[in-house]
Amino acid sequence: MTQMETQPGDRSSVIVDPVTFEVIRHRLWAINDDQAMIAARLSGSPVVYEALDFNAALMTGDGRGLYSGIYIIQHASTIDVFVRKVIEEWGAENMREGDMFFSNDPWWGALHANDGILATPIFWEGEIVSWAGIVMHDNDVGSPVPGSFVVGSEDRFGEAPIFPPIKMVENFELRSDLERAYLRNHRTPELNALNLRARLASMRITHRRIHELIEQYGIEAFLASQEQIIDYVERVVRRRLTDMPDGTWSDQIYHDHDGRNDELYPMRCAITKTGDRLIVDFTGTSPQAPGAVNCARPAMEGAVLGVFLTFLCYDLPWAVDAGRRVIEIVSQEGTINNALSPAGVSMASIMATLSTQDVVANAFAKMLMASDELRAEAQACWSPGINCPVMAGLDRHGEPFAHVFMDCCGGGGGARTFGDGVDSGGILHSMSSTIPNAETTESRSPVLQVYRRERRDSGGHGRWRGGAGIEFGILPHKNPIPIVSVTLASGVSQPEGHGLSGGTPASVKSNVVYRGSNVRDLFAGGQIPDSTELLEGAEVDVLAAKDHTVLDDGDFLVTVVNGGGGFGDPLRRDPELVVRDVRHGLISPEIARTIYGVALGDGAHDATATESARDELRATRLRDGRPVAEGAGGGTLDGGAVLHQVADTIEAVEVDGARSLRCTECHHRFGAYDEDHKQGTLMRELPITATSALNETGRVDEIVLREFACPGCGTAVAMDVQLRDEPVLAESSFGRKG
Amino acid sequence: MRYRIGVDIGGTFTDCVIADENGHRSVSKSLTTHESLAEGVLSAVQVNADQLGLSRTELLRATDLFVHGTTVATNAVLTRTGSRTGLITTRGHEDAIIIGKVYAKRAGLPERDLVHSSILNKPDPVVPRELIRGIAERVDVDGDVVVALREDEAVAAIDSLVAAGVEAIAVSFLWSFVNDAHERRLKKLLAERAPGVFVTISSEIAPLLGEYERTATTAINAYVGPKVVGYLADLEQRLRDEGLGHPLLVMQASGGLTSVQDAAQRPILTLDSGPTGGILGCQYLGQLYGEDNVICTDVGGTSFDVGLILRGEVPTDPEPVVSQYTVKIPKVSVQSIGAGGGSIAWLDEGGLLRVGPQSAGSRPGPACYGLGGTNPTVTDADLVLGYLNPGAFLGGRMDLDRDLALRAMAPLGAELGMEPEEVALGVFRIINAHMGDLIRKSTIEQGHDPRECVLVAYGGAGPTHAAFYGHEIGSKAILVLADSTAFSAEGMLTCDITHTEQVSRQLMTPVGAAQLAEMNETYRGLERRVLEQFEREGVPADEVTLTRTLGVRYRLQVHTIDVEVEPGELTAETEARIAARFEERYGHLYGEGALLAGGGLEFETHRVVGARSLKRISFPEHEEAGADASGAITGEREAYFEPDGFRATPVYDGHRLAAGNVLAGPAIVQRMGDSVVVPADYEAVVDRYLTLRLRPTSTVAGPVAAAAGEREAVR
Repeated sequence: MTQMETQPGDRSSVIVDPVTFEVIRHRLWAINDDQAMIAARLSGSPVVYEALDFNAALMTGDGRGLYSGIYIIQHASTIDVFVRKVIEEWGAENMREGDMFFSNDPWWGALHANDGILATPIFWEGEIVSWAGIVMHDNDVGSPVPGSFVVGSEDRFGEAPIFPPIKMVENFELRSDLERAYLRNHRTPELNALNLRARLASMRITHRRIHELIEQYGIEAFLASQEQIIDYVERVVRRRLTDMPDGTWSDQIYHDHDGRNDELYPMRCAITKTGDRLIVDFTGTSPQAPGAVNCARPAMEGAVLGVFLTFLCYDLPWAVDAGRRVIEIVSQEGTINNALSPAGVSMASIMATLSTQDVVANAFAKMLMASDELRAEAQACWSPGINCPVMAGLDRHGEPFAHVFMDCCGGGGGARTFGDGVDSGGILHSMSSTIPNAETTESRSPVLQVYRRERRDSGGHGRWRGGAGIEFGILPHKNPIPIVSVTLASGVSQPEGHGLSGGTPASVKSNVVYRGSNVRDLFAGGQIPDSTELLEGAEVDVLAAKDHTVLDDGDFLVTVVNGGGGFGDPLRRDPELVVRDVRHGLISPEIARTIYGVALGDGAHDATATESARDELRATRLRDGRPVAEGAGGGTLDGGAVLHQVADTIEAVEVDGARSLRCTECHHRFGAYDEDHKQGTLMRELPITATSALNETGRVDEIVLREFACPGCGTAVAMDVQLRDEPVLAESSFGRKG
Repeated sequence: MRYRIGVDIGGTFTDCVIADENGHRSVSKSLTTHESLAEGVLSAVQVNADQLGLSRTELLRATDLFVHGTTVATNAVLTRTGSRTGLITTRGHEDAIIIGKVYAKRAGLPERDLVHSSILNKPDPVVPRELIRGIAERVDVDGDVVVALREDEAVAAIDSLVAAGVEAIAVSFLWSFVNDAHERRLKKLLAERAPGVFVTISSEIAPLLGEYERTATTAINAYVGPKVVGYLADLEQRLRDEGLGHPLLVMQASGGLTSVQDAAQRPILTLDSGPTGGILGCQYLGQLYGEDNVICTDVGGTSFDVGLILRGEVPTDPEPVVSQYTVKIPKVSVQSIGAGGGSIAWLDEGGLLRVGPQSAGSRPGPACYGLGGTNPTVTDADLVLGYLNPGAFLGGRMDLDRDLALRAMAPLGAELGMEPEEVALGVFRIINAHMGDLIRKSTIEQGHDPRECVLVAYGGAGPTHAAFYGHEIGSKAILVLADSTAFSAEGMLTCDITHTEQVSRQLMTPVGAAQLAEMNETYRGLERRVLEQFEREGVPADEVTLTRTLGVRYRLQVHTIDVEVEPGELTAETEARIAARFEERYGHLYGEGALLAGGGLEFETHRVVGARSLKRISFPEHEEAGADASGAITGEREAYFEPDGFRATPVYDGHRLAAGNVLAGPAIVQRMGDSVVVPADYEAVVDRYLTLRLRPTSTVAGPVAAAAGEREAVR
């Protein structure tokens, strides 16, 4: 067990009046936001501009996270780790005004080698009173492959060079020897030099602004406000946690393909809330993989804190240290998200880090369901992981090009407890990310983006459905030589974006090449394919999660970026909404019938037929389901006092002095208050294709959907995605632990 | 006597300013009549006519220029009450306007909402999915036709939309700004098959790269079209019936005026034109004062708007956001936050005092209005602190109740352990700091040094807060204008008639002979279109000043910087001049150290702005009358000033002040529509235009914004 908590400083004796505090708080927030934007404006990387793959943080003088920015969230919650390690190694007494420390080492705080951190101590009257830091993604930092995501590496020695902290800047000037050494390994040294100056400019201006602030309000008020910001966030969060029932909530996902082997690596998370504290426990998570998908501990902590900030600090300053004070992480070294050197980590930022985020967010959502105050924040999984094609070759002018399809940020939002997820809503870890116009893509790379649409059945189903993801088709166009395409994806083998409270998972992601397709013939005949329906190819080539391929003339790549998970039993969805979704092409008529039990008529649904179809589907669940644990739960419980909600259709009640969990629809008793309600359900297994035809490209034979239903009324209360032979996963249990 | 009239309709008030040949002003403020806006314009004119002792017809007959700022388009979008609109687009890209580059879920939202994942949504569509038709046609990046236009599909799409009862149709195809043949063909088919339907094609309204923004621009233009056309035609007719002998001119968000005929084709250009008049007015004042750099601050009831004049120019935002849609129309840059007189003070759950962005609006409004509001607002704080005259709000048309304001502060005070007066002071300080932070964001953080700027304050609450939010910025001077309450309407009378034409043509350096020829042809074509528009309005070419700009960036970058391009035939030396101007501007914005020596450039948006100058209203100058202002003192009021706290403070009648008067702080200047506060360590000097110049009496400036200078040192 490792405590994340750090000790507060001793300068907080001064109490700042609430007005000055609010004024300083607002200013620090503005400074933090701007330190990121300055660097972004100066950067030449589209990855920085469009995906906003960067972030910035302000920290206290001893390196505790005070403010982190609103861009890629995991970044900002790793900078404080870096700063504390730097202080430990250098010693504050050996630092001077104008020193800046740099590293791209994942064991020191970078997510992966592309993410260079620059941080600087800010002095006042000879003492370090604050730190500022910024991290940005550089397009290429060396390694055997352009872009430095090394599909195929065994360990970090086959990846880009990493630099443990170096004093890159002295007296506000770049040290040219170190800069040269760093840039020497890169394919894009000019661009990276520009980005390095962007970081430097940001740090210098931040330094100046903090000084202005101190001049204006005094060092006492500044130091005290720093402490009070963290205390304030901690206080509110602890109060929010205290008001929630104690319990444990769990989830598991698989990370598929390590870059060399198409294996499934389970990642598990159990969150235990006791009083005002959280324990995030990754026990059961796979050992580190022999490929480039692992992440080191700082990235894993960044993922945990990112979820914490998103769901518990949606209206608070993003003071990372407050999170460290209330969260304890349990993780074994040598696992896929706490990997030890020399594990391969070049894809860490988009692989194990994101999968960590997703599994933690899933467990978090289950926890938030039990809170009246925070239930509105609970969401099914947003478009999980990533699906990012990267292409290179020569453009139509014969010049080299490399294009990262930032369309990977086009997934759907997770279903909410009060509404559908946002269609093509984006990614959880950066609410600001964007996808490019097709015209921008076509002007930068020799392709036609023939179509890009919100994809039918790519989101999960439920009472509220997950937001739809997108599908797009890419045809090489005016390319002088074949295009090399690298695929960086996870969640290709199995539906990775879980539903909540009986909602179904989003579809798998996919990359399918129609070799020698008929697209040009269709064009000649006055037709444009806007889905795969009209496509014919000599060969349909389904790419692996991590893959290399070559696109020749006529080869047509169809990429699906999946949507978000669904919420609640789909049979409880308003049939009118299903009719609308079918009309909008977001749900197929077949799914409307088989998953939603809606009898579609001509532009409307047949209410009577829908009702009987839904009855029939529930009856099927009751008939085909087998008890998860024989003898668990049973009977009905009427009356009593409702203690709190548990899931969409499960509540905790106290009847005659005994606390139990029951169905809100039929009052079936799932079990005692401290038992996992899943044990009292009926389970049946469904093929993954049951919820989306897109899942046909997944591992249909090995992976199954497990649907858990109320034995009383057949209402679905949970759905898991698992290997066929694994034991049933825990869902939740209430009560104080140990 | 001849007159010029400016009428600006805002959300709460309709402002009317009438200037005669000698520069004498008549100013009125009336409540906006949302049910009949045209009627509201006429009644506002009536109020001023009464002031002048003329009948409305007499006034309109004697009017040479009638300028109007309208919110019809803005309201139609904000309240989604535009026309039923269909969209015809390239098959395969029907969802572009719905996907909105994902970014639409957060575009234009205040930053505090951006991290709240559960509340984000895409905008309510202006074109419902049911009315989007994809048809087979495709052009590529070079303008080559990949799939010929399927006329049968076009006809079917048009007919089905007409059958669905649309009032407007937008057409936006991929790459139409490179090859517009398919869109032009659609326009012809629409004229034949859908007469009476308002039609907009993207290659005419926004021939710029980026199908999402171009389509959104086209769709919104169509969406607001019928409403704006109907409103302007009705208004112009009524004014003509009442004797107006000159064409009505309409304010555009770009900062220029245009004809009703043009606004009827491109109504989107009137969208969000509200704050523009004030900023253009500041540009003109800057010229009068010989100031090239101005920070324009407008404090209204619900929002605080900041605009800039830099080197005498008004910066424009090439991609403004309208109701979460990003559009491509030239618009004067304005940054806003929810901070104004109506902003509500509250305690968050951590027990912190917060102010805004929620506003009490005008009904019930601040607690002190006595209209039933109980929330403590900034206006309540201003009143408690003694800055507002309880008996003379809005020129004496409304009384303010200080007891109600105190009562509204009390619950917060009980929670915070503070007296109501202390809460009021806290609210005042917090809102001023937020305003100051926005000014910093608009200036220092964009690479502009506020020490080189004068700050102009207007809007109802601007004069009360200006010295406080302006203090820490360290600007050269803080100017509070004589007619600051209706300054937006007044500013419209300083504008030119402008028409803008632009197109995206991507070129990379080095520019060869063929590309140079293309640039020449592009600019000539744009200039021809601008002049044709003026010609349709009866303006000969020799009265039009043409300006060319070009959007330039380093290769690989996304955002461009506009640089000016020389008129006439471009030559082989042009590229070097463009590069030099680009690097000069880039270095200024981001520091010399950010320049990428030898980095190739990309050219994108070619733009031509044509301007026809109008005779501007004059600001009459007044004779110096000496420093002594004691004759204007009407009494004393208890008001709060650092460092003493509440103290008897002289109150001046603003309308009795004369040029040259010097007022030592602390002082309060009471005027018809507002209250100017001069802090204790400040003095106010009345200049020849009767503007109050506020300046600190000690040389110790606030924490001067040295960060801007710092930027230059970055290497």
